Amino acid sequence: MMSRRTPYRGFLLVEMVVYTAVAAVLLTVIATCVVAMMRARQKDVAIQEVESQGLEAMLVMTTALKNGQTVVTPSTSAFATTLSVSTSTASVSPMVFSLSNKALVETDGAGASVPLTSKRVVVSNLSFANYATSTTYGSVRIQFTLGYASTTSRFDTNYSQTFYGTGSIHRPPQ
Amino acid sequence: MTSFRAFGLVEIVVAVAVAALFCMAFVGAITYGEESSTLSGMRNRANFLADEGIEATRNVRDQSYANLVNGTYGLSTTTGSWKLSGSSNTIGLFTRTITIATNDATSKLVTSTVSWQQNAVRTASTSETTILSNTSLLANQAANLQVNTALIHLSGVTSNSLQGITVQNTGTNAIVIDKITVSWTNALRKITQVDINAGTVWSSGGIGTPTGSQSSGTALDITNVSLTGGAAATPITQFLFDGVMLINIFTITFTMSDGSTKTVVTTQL
Repeated sequence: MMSRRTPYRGFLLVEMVVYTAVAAVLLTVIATCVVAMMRARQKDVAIQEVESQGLEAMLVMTTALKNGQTVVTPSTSAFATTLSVSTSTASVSPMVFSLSNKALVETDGAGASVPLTSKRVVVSNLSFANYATSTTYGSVRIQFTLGYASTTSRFDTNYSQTFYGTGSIHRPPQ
Repeated sequence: MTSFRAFGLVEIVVAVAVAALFCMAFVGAITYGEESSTLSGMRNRANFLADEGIEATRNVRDQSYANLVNGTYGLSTTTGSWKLSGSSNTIGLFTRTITIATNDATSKLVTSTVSWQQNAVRTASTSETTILSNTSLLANQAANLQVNTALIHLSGVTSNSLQGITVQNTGTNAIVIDKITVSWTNALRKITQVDINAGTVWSSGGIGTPTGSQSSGTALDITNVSLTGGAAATPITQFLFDGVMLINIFTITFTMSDGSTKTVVTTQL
């Protein structure tokens, strides 16, 4: 009598169902992971962009103040949206920091404006306050908000931070 | 017996577990990376605030060194200038305190500390320390030396003694007179002795240098005379010369121990 056992039999329906189910679960998990990774990466880019550009811009301004001669704008006990610092080098004096086209720009003397922040961030609420007195050298509190300029709306890349810092004129006392 | 058996349940479970592990590792790495960017950003911003504390305190010191009283403070700008007030400041999620302690008699140790909540369970802090000196001391000694020549006159039998000058320290810190240079117009005459507060501080006989009678314009290195801040005027008892000094223009330059100088000019008929 011939054996009914087939060495190469097909899949049973139940096997196919189980296989498909397992594959579906696996694919779902992997897809979720990939999406989460992409989202996290985008967010990380946004955070790094805002934080590093904010740090850089703040350093440039506080250093200009430390090395400067006098604070021209804002005057003592006043607020302003631009910062003007005179320096001992006439060709780059005064150094002016202001907001232009959502970017922080620096203008040295009669030179052209140079942006300190890129198009990837949006600068707002730029303000300077000179908290020196009539008998002390300029001490300017700098404040600005940086937001990430999202180029894609696929992921949540909203990230903004407000930076505070103070730079003072460092000169020997009168 | 089957030579091509299907996967066992255990194999499937292991495979899924391994795949899940990889996924978790990737997601974890990215998530922690994002968190570390946020944390380092916070630290950078905290450093600026700590620096602001130091800069503001420096400005408060420039207003008056007396403003730096030991203690823990916050900052206030309500008057339009930096002031130490309260015990701390809150700027967003950051809290800043400024601590002032004595470093030595003429300087303060200032520490600006910023602390913040990194996440639900962890706090972080950063601090910056500096020494702020009493810069009013940097004003040179000569700036506080007042020389009064209102009562100047020639005295002695042969009018060879210049008298009536007083010196006074109008500052708060000691002034030390190191050298005195006297010039006059009569080239024949020489100076032989200088007395301050009734004591001889230079003489041709060997007190101070150089020795021997000196011509006009020689720097006389006298026995140092210290003038206490705020004390009463000290008389320069006399400048003694070897002959009649009438009709002379005297130029007297005091050189202090810090190298600063003060010059007075007087004419005697």
